Parts: sequence; structure tokens; C-alpha cells
Amino acid sequence: MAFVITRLCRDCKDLSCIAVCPTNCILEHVAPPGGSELPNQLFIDPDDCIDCNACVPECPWEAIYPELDVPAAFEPDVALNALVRERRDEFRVPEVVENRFPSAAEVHENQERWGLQGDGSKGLGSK
Amino acid sequence: MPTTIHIYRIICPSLREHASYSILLYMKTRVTFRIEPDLANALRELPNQTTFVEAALRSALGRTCPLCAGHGRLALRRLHVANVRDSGIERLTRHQAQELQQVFRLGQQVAATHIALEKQGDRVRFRMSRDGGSLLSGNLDRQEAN
Repeated sequence: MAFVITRLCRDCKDLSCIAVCPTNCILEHVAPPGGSELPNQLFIDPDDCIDCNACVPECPWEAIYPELDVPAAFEPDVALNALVRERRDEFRVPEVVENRFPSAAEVHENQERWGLQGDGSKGLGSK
Repeated sequence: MPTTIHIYRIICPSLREHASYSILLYMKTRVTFRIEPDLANALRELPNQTTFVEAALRSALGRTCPLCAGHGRLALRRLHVANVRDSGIERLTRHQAQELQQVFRLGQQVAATHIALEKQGDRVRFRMSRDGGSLLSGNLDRQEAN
């Protein structure tokens, strides 16, 4: 099992998680010329993730879940992260830059934007 | 019938050394390179430039690298880090994760192939190895020491 970065990261890409990831497994996508673009978010390489859990509390957008706890609304994001396996050459470790910490209201607004209902605790593992 | 070189050696005994030296020179490979004028002047003043340059090169190159066997290139090999949960560790603290990050980067630099993790009481112990041979071991501290 690995951790998964969900769509709550999209267009936010806080990068705090990268500063603590021990194995450099949090990556950004750089589309090759003529290649297909992926959503503007970070991804976790499931083969390199060691389940250390260090990235989860770092993400101010609460976008990172253990694979088995990914909310049902974000289920496609598991496969999206797994794309790193097939297209590893298109991913790289981004440079860490400090970002503004979002307010609780902004985090809640982002969750609503992506259709997360309740506290988001109902995941794939509890189905 | 004496050869020309035999005659020369009779005339001039010291030619034996010169002849041997010439033969040795032909066994070597000629290398041409450009250097700064001051270095070139210093080199020209030396009595035996070839011997000096050879010794300097051997000294600079040192021992043959045990990783690449002198080829200068290493095959790209993945550094595998043990899964935290499989190692009986619930999670890493932020500080432990950052310490492991440093260990991981060091491991990449020294071409390590594996980092094993083990829970020892309240501590997390790591052991870095290359093909089964231990390179480094230590503890990941839960918190930064005061």
C-alpha cells in the first residue's frame, strides 16, 4: 500500500510534502513535447512510497490519503498516481518553494469544489 | 657481424642507456594536450617530463574506483528503502523522515542498494547496504536534540 495525492492538490501544489519525503517519491508531471498533460498536481510514486506517513500532516490542503482510505469521490486519483509507474520519465522531483498557508475556509472551499462530502474519512478501505 | 648499434655502444658505452630509453619511449603512447603557459614553462625546465607527468597523473587518479572499476560510469541502480509499516514502525516523525531523507541522499551518492529499517524500542534503526555489504548504520531520532 502507498499513499495517494488526490485532486485536492490540484492548482495548489503546496510542496511542503516534498521537504519531508524520505525517498523523493513525490513528483510533478512534465509533459513531453506533444505528450498528454496530466492535472496540475503532485503525484506519489507507489513503488517508492515507504508508507512513512510523514507527508500527510505536511499538506495544508489535506490532499494526501493512505491508498485504502481515499474517499470514494477521489477513487480515480489512485490510478492517476499509479501512472508514475508507466511514465516515470515524465515525472521529476519539483524544487521546494515556500507557499502561503491556506486558511481553514480555503481548505473547506477546495474540498467542496472537488465534491468531498463530510469529513472525507469514508475511504475505499471502508467500502 | 656487429650491428650499427653494437658499434655505437663500443664507441660510446653510455649509449646503451640511451638506446634502452628510446625503445621504452616507443612502447608508450603519445598524448598531446594544451596547458597554461606558466605550467608549460615549468614543465620544460624539468629533466624528465614524461616521468613527471606520468607520476602526477597516477597520483591524481589514485586507486581504481571500487564501484566503477575505473570505467568512470556506474550502472543506474535503484536504492530500495524498506517499507515503514512492514518494518513494524507505525509512522515516522517529521524529524525522523527528514533524517531518513539525508540518509537516502547519502545512499544515492555512495551507490547503496538498500536501506533497512528496524524498530528498536522507541527508536528507529537504519542500516544502509550495497549488495548485502553493510555501509552505514545508525538511529533516526524522534526529535531534534536540544
